[in-house]
Amino acid sequence: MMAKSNLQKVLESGQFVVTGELGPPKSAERKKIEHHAEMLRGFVDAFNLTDNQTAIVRTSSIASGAILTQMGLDPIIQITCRDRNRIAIQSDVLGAVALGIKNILCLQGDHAKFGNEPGAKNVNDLDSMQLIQALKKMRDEQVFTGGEKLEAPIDIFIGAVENPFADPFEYRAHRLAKKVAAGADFIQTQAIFDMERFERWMEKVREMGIHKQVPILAGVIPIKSLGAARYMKNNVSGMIVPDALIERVKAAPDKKEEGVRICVEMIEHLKTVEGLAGVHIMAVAWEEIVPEIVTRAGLLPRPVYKD
Amino acid sequence: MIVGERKPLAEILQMVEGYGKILVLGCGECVTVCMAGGDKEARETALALSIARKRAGSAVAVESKTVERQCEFEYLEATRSQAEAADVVISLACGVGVQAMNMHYADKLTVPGLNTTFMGLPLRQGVWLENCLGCGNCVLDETMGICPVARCSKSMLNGPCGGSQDGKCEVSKETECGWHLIVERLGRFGKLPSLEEIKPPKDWSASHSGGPRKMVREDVTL
Amino acid sequence: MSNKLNGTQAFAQANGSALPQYPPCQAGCPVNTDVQEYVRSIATGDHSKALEVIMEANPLSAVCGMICAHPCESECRRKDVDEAVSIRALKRFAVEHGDWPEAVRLEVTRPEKVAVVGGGPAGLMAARELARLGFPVTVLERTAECGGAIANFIPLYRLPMEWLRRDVAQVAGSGVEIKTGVELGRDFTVEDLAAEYRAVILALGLPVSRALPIPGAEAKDVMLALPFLNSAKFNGFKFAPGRRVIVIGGGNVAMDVARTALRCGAGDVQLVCLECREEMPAFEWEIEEAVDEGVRLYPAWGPKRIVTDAAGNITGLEVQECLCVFDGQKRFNPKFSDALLTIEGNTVIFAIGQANDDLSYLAKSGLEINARGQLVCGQRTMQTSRAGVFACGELVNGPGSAVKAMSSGRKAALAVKAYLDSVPFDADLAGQFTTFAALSPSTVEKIKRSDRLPVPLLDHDTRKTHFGHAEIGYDERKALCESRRCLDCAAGAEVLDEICAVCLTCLRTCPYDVPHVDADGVFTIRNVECQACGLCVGICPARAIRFRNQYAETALSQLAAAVEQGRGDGPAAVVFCCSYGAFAEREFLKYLNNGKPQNLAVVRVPCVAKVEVQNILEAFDLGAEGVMLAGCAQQEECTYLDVSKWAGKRAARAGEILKQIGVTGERVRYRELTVDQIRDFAGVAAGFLSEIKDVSSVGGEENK
Repeated sequence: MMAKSNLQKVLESGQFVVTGELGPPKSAERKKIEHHAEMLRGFVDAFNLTDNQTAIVRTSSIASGAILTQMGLDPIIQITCRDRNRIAIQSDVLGAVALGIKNILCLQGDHAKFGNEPGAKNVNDLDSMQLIQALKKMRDEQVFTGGEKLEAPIDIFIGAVENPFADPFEYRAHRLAKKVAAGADFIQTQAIFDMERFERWMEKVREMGIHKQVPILAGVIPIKSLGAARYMKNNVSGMIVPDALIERVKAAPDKKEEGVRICVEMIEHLKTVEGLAGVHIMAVAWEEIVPEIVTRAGLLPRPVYKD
Repeated sequence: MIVGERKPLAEILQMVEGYGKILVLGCGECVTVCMAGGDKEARETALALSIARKRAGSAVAVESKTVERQCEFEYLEATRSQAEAADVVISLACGVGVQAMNMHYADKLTVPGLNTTFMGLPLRQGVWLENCLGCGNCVLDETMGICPVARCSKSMLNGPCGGSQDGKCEVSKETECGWHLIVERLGRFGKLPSLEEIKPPKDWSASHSGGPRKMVREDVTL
Repeated sequence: MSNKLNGTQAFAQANGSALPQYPPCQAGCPVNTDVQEYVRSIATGDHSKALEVIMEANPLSAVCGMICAHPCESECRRKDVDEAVSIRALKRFAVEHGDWPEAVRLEVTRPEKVAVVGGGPAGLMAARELARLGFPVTVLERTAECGGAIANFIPLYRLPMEWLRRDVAQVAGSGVEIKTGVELGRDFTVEDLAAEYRAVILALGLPVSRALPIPGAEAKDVMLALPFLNSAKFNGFKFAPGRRVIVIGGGNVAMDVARTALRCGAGDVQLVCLECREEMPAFEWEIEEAVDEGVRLYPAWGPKRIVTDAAGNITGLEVQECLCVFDGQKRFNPKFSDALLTIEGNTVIFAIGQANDDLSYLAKSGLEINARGQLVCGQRTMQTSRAGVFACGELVNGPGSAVKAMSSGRKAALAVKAYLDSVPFDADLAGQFTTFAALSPSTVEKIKRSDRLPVPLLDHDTRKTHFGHAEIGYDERKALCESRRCLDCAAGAEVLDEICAVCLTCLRTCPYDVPHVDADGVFTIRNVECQACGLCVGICPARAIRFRNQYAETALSQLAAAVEQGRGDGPAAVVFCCSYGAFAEREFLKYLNNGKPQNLAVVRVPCVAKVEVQNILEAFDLGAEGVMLAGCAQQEECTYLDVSKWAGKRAARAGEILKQIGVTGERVRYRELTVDQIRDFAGVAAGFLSEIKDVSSVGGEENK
């Protein structure tokens, strides 16, 4: 077996985990990836590298993840079902592992309609559930989806996402359980703004005992501006931003500071929610704020493991 | 049935530029029902072309006709004299009819006047909904009669995705989330636990992914 | 497309024959006048055409316009919605407002001469029909002018003589020879006729009033209805002051007598009849008008004796209460109570029925007369016992309306033709047709209500003082409104099975649920429920629905000619306007025929929602630069539903198609005009033309 990922180690240590999100650039500028990664070094335990998020063409998550491994950081590469069929996905997983990547997060992917290639064919050969299962089979049974054997075993730490803010709400915890049954080793949630709804979901998750089967990281997004808050409320699929929150930002003289304060308060609260193993901070296009949030939320220092 | 919509007339005009005698050929089946390519549309299209060409100073002889079903060679025979007399035929049938015309009248070019959009039904008058993708492997029994392949924007077999909100799909507030409907209906029939089963990857080879499909029924072939 | 046994087929099967199918009004008319057609012609402003349609079926058009018993109205299906269309009054309107055609002399194509004895409704009809069949016909009338009972007895306040004379002149003008003042049995015999004519029709009528053999019936101030009416009409009969008149009878003649008596100076008029008020045989409106004029009714009283004083002067009429007139078998068998009453009065007029003349002179010519003195005549052959001699009208059928007598006359003409052609004839088989039942309640429910317009009359105090025409009749506006109430029964949609894609678009569009899928899944368009709004025709993607009556198609087919005529200065424009309401007014039509700009073509359509996208495009293909659909803002007068919605959508769709081919600008518009705007259409037209001029010059630039 290969060495475990930093993420897996921290999770297993029982410490409250912090992951952060990096959006690869719409260019081949390695420096940008390195710059943002450096900025977050020591403040997060692992880095999510998005896979053409919101269907916008960017540097691939695997290539970006490979850069991070070279920097000695722990990437979580995201793979969506939107752009590749099962052949390409399994091939990419092998390549990622070969590049030293250990964490793979499985997503369905936003519809291409939202991105900069709205005419693209949405592949969706596998769905996210089948993707998780495919990775688990590659790892645990050493077979591809088609049934053929891998020539050598691989080790990967499989992540999945769940969105407590999507509907039908009652089904959402069950869907999480299904992802765990499919093979998810850890869970990251959609960004939380509606804490009440999130807690109701967690209640159900605890009732079903899912939190004891997998670590769950709660997603947060620091609000950078009133416009950003409104945009997320109205334009980002699967998000619920309560009016009260928008009013709070609107009323604040310093929007950014208020955004940070809200995020910190949320993390403080999430730390107390039973069944959560950590937080996932998605400060896309505002990566520089992550250290401050982590610091103010009392999440420092981050553990360091010597291999 | 097959649903289609007429191509923008400017596009049709471009297709037939340079031709002097045009036959606009409607089809009396699906495209009549979906009000895209029946006799009424054929006449309107012919008139529109005539008006446009007259105004452009290149008057054209446009005729219109509608056959019972353009995807049957026997019915196409009924239009032989008009088809042969025309320099070009604009078919207002679905893509099947256009190709049938080109097969049957191999020396004549038939161009499409319609965009064939989907297989579906009229939800109410003037509103048509896609219901079937022709995937070749029906799973409606597992999903309470609501197709996850056609009615989920992502054709998920283990849906719904995280973009489903208030019963609507992330793609559009006008689009119902197919999986929301499935979950609701399963609940109504007390079958929610069936969702626990993880549906394996679909065998898309039965769909167009497997190449152009052909069906032979030996018991009825001549 | 498999399941295509639909409405029309099902209907044809049920029908099972090639018989014509008439709307109930036409079926109810004894001479089968195409009521729908003339009512529609009035509604669209073509009163001359309406008159032509009426005259086609009826030689006494004007007479019937004034006094017809209008059985058509009893059949009118509108009565289930609110009230029957006022058909008779509309006929009068057509008669008064249509242009009377010059009578065309019919060509004689047969050598056999035919004589018609009696110039009443039956005789005139028989004569005209024979003339149309090519026979030389002579009418022999014993009085000074034709018309029979109409001429002799119908009071002038109901029918001024000029109208009857117009009708008779038309008959004469068509080539029927009319000899007046010649009487059968006095001036000539059947043998005389047989010597000259190959066939003879006896249409002698029932010109004799009957009396009751009650005590006092011989008193000197007892009168009979018909001589009284005739005397009042032609001899200026006046009662001496102080006459109190008691009329016996409850039928229409009794009403004529009572109302005439008032006008002849009777001090008061009381009317006694056996029937109770509800069962009185006279028309309800006539009873009401009589009561309005002051006639006092004693229904359900049977005359017992005329009371006279010692001098033989009448002092009253003793009557006995009548409990019922008919027995269980519906036979005349009155039952009386013991209650007696004496109605005071000094004049009694019997109006209890009519009989034929003494026909014994006919027996001498070999015609069989029965024990009751009536001419024996085969109901189905229309022949008397003497070969070549036929009979018709009241003489054969008993008392009835003029229009019923005409129906009989028409059949007699056919009987004569068959006789002369040596082919069998059966009156029951002649002129057969089918009709259809009442509207289904579900359709009735969906039809827009619209009250019947009362026919204006002189007020009762004025009219009862003279014999001037009591009814004023509709003016143009009222006639246009009333005629629109016609439901156009079964004139509307029927489906062409071979073309129908069974898409059900019509079923979803129809405001009346006329298209229908039955419990077996079979689709039909129930034509007989159709209200002829045309929305289905306009939306049917297969063009598989058409109107049974092609009036809308005909209207729309006028487009090319209208555009052709409309070539003038400036860009050509087409207006498709409604043909009802103010669009049917004389003013507007005058403007269209003589006053509109050369480059404006106007096509009148029976409802603008019947204009299809195709029609609009055709206008542009013919060279128009702009099209207006002009509807009417007076929506409460419109019988159709959803007109604005659909006319608007058609205009928008056509505009969109034009835009796609680069004909830009607002080229197609739907507008709802007020009555005032329609009456001043010149203003609307000028505005529209100038808008189109602007749009087309801009569009022209773009196209370059």
